[in-house]
Amino acid sequence: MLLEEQAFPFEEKAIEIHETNVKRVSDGLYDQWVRNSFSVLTKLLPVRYAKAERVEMVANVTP
Amino acid sequence: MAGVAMALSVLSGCSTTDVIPDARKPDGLKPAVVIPPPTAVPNVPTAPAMAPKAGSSLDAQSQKSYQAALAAMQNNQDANAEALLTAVVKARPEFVEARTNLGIVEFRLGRFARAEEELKRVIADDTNNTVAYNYLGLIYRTNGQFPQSKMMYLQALSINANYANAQLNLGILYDLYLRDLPKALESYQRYQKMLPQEDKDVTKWIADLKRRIETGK
Repeated sequence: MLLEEQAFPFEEKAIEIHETNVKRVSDGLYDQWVRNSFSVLTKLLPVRYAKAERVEMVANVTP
Repeated sequence: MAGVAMALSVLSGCSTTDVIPDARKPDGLKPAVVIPPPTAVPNVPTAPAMAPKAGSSLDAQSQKSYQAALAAMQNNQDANAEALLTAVVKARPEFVEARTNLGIVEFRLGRFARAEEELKRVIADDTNNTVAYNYLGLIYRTNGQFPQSKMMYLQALSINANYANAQLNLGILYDLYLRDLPKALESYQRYQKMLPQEDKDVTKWIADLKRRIETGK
């Protein structure tokens, strides 16, 4: 069995734990640990969590 | 009219910046900001040009400083931009665009409290400043103040219903932080309709959301 295949169940478990943690935002909790879980999930589940807000710079404004 | 109208503010091509979800750093530390490749989301409708403010035109020195500040922002020299904008704002406190940019630079420098303060002053004077509302939405989200964040994005959209960035950010807020998946889906779908061509990343997000809504996960 490839090392990657052996690691798969651990990755699944990590996703489950971090997802449980980020769901705590619904209870108004957004502490360091919840933030860290969001950060980890951007790498483990990018389609679901690597979602970047967009902002402008208001560049090229001519006074 | 006593005050001569300040030369029109023309947003002739706002550059758009992505901020990763966990960009928050304590005040004083620079948040992680990712500049997307220019072709990532072509021709995204952005905020409308801000209304010109009453007042005389900038003196030559302030104008030079302001242009240098914009160039510094473009080159990610935020500390330099901050110094230049602070000087411009001190000389011309009614120049709302410079204050908006100052708020943005404070955000980019990780000084969220200062950025919030500056941008709140901006919207007090310029109630249609959608860029400031969008940034405030992001600042509140970063602080975990989700209801306030939602209010800011909705306010931006009430001023400009086609403001794509605010619509996308509202979707992300519903999706990741308010965990209201149907509303997130609706926001992403509206966002896609605002674009001249679909955002392929958001297409994937929509597919994932639909699957989660159907399966109840």
